[in-house]
Amino acid sequence: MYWSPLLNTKLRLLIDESVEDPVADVVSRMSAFNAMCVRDLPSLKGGSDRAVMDYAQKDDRIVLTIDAHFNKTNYPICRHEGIIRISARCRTGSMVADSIRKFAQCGHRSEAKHSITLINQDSCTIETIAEVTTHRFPG
Amino acid sequence: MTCRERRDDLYVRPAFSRWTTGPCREEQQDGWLTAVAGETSRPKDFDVPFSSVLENAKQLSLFVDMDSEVLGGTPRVGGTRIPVYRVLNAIDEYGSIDGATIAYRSLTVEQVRDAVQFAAHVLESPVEHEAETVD
Repeated sequence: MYWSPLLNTKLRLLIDESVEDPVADVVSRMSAFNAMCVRDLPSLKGGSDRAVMDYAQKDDRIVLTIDAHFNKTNYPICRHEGIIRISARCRTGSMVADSIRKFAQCGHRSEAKHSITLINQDSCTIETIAEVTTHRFPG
Repeated sequence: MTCRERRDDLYVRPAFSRWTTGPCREEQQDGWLTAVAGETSRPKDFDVPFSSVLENAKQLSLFVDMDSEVLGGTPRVGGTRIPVYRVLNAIDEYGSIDGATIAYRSLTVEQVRDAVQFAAHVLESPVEHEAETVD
């Protein structure tokens, strides 16, 4: 059996600076993700939304953010690698980390590519160019 | 009814008890009703545009910044992409100012304090201050 990029199911993420540092650390350690943080990139630290999006697109990464301005109005679906947005209802870092862990384990994470995903505490809504589907997290 | 009797009348009403101290109002103004009208709080002015409230609060802050290109204009800690509301959430989660610097290691205590002050200014702004200045 030969190695193929298609077999690599890790999602490539660019974690926005608005995500708490302990959460970013947890996500970076998750085997489901290949994560990079905006806070570690001096050129993007405090940078504009467009700069973050452009970097993510150039490096084939999905943007993981809390900011609600990363939506399909500002960034139409299929014109970027993808956006994963954490719901504002996840107020604390521990809630955010728990929601991301559930998303990683729910079996639908690969659908986040080229789509806009909204993660809540108990479900995720994935919006592609064709449809919007909501998946409840098990348990 | 004399001035003193009026004061005693008010003294049994806790809501107006602060009026029982200080100079007699009748000594300063023409009539008691005028004085009461001056002391009665008026409706707050909530018609102030929120954008101007944010701008005013920003003027008073050292570290909070707003830029339509960054976080869509959401108030944030200057030089970062950390919104003020997440700083407040971090304080809520960790229970202290120092806790917010654990959640966001790039922030200083001064920046966190300034974010809290900014939020306070925003909540304080849409108030008719004139009612408060009447003696």
